[in-house]
Amino acid sequence: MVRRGSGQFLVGLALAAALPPGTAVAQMRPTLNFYGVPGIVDMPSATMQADGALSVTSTRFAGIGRTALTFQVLPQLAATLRYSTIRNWNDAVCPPECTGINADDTLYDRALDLRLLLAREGAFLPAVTLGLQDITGTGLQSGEYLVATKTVLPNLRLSAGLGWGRFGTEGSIGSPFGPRPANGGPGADGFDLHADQWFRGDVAPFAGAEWQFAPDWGVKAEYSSDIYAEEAGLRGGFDRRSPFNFGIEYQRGDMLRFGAYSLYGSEIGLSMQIMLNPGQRPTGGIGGTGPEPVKPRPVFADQPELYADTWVTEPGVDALITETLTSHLKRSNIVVEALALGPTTVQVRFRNLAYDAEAQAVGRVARAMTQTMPASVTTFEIVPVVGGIPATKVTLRRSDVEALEFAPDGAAALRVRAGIGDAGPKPEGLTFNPDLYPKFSWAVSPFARVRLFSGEVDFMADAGLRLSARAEVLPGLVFSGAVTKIVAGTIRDTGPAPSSGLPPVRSDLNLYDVDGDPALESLQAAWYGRLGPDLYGRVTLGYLERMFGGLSAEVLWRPQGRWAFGAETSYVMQRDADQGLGFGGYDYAVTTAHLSTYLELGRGYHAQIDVGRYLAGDVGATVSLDRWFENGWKVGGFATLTDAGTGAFDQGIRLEVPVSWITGRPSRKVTPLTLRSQGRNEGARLDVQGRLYETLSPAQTEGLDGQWGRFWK
Amino acid sequence: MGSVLEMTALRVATVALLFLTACSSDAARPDLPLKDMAKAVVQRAFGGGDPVAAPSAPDAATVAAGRKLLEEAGKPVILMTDAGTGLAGFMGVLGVNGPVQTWATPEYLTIGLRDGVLISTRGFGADLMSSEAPDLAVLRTGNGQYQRRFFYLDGADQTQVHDYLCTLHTAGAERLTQLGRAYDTRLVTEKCSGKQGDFENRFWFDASGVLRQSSQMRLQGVENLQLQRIID
Repeated sequence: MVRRGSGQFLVGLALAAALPPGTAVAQMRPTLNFYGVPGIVDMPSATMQADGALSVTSTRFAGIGRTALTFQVLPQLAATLRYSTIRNWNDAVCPPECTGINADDTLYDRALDLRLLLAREGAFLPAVTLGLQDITGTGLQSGEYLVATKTVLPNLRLSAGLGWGRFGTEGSIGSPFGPRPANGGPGADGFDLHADQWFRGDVAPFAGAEWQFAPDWGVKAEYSSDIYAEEAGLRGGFDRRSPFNFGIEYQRGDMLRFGAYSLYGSEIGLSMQIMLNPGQRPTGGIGGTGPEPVKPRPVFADQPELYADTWVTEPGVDALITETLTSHLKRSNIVVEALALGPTTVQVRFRNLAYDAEAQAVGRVARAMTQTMPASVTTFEIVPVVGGIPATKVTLRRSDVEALEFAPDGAAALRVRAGIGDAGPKPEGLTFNPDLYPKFSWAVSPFARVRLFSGEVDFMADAGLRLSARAEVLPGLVFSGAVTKIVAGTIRDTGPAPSSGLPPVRSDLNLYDVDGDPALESLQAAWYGRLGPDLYGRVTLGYLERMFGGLSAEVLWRPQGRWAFGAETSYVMQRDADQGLGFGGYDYAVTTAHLSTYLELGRGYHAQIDVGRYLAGDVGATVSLDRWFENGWKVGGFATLTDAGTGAFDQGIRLEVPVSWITGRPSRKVTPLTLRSQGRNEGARLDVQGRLYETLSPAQTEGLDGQWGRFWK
Repeated sequence: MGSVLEMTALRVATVALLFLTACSSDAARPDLPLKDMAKAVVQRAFGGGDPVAAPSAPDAATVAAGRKLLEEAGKPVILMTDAGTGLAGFMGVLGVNGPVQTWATPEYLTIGLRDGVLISTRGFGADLMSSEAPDLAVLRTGNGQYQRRFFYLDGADQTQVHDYLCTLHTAGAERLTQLGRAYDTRLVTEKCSGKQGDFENRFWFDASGVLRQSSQMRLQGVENLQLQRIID
């Protein structure tokens, strides 16, 4: 493939030479095409979005609707997940052909694309991109291309390329790499790279231009090399009269773009593009009220008596300092969990309920300590407690905190003087805040449930209220539960998902959706603790998730550095679909177990491999790759392969959007979103809350360092 | 059916917004523990209005009463007006660390001033996290050239540095009125330019060289922060 790729690279360069050389450096923003990738109208361009950019595109023409999510994984690599619907799919063929792929009036299709930038745009040379469209799934949309794009004027961009697969169906100039082997065809399930097809078969040129004629307006024109053999030809979904497409687009702000188009000489198309940059909060710096100032100690020579350390032995000093510190931190919504007082060193263990950046909470605690600690205290040990676990220890010299409050770039200066490491054993004389336990809290919050492509319905949703409560009895021991009630919605029983001959551990999703209202979502007791240096543990017992209840235990070894290792085992029984207290409906119990390896790849990339036994008793592995942005966004994908059935993959994409990113105000809330095939029994994992790695990470070295600038905020 | 799909992204966004509104027993309830005299004073002087909202123009008697109340408290007061955010309020000294004083409104909008020269802001959103700035003595001379350096956090919480080259000019005499009191001042302007753009700061010194009023840049592209020294 490499040799073949470099051969096409030369073709790209030749194409580029045909374009007029320009002195303009690319200034136009990337725009997206009907497949949701950077492009013209229906054809791709070589443009890449900014590193980390995330876009959602929804387009429609001739009964073909496509909704795509594109993520710029690396500056040179982009991935797109796309759901498509094609209406009137079987009109022309059914009857008589009404089975398999032709069974339904509307075709639902899922596709994954990868795009690789081979050369950046230079002063004279164009950008060159290699694209693989629909590399898994049905292959209906499959096509490969090599495209070159050059910004020839500050507001004019030209593209030209060669397409294979569906992009090589109009105006073919030959088959340089031999015939294209047959594909499993639409309806083939599972994961198959179709790599034997890539760049085989007919190849055809395509080209297009984008002209930004006003700051917020652009027009596009292209020659398409896609003849729409299936949609327009075989099934007669529309009349393809011309290879030329035209469009006009309007950009609203940095995030929204709308377009209207004329496609293939007979159709009108519409598009909406939402472009996000997760790495940068749109509001810029985070809001929230200012901190308390640092209070420096008096000069020793002036008041030496204040530096005496006899206060340590005075009765009631723990309670007094806890109370004072608590009052200083109340406004910041930081809870003092425990204190260990010494004549020169004080350890404060705290819980951060407010800030999306743990470093900001650490800074607030340091400031409050300067206000409350007697002058003999020279060392501050600040320990964030997460879920009852002392996650890490930040050690600061009090004199540094005093000296660097207003120092230019004081955060960086303080970081090189701060020590961050394992929380260490419980210090002698650690006194827990007596007001903290037992602590009871509750919340009412809205929730929503979305079902895509379920049976014959492509979108259903329910919205309702969730009442949740938790009681912390001892440090690390939490009882919690949640009840849900649907208020309004459209989710109805569209039948179970295919069970593939496995126990229906997830495929009865439809029953759980419909029967469980109101539902006891969870009711559990969880224990978290630090077992030793860099070693953490969790045990959870009860109704763990909507479909399973039982016992789950986990250990995580996370030494300083890039690697971490974990193990989890659970004995669970399947709950009744009404999500009451019963287990009788299924009479299914299983022991699952996984070994996990976590690796920080740098630049926010995290890889994880879980190997073990899944809920349906199948054995396999899940590989995940996520990108964690400093501000709390997470974007990632995962794939699972088990020995069940055909060895089919379960794949998905997950996003986590911090609420603080949207509002610009400090908040610990996140909005998680996972796009995966729902109701699959293969590779299904217990959905237990509070797995250790994700829980602890924000408060450990990487999380603290990523947002260390917030220390003085 | 197909058009429903097109709406999916929007609906998901709407649902996401729903999650922003939730109530719980842990909700942060920002109380105002700072018993800063400024709040009480302003409320009494201007009829109980929110001190963070810019006070409307009061008549001479109200102004005199307000000044009297501020003076009775016996503590220094600055009137801060930030046109960029529409925030305004009286500030008192909340803390002193070396040469830098932290001035705050009761709502914990705070600024760090070194002899009146803006060093940092907090609570303004895109805060000036820290800076290298000239001494007041340098500004007072009204001429000279030097570098300024400002540190901010971007939307990824990463530190960004903005560098400027600045030149001082003496712009002449100006008569100021601050809360019913008039001052003859000498105006010094500071013109700075850098990659991010240009800005101009202004400093008004009274006859004894005290900084009575200033207009200082806190963030490029946002209107300057206006500071008036009401009570010394």
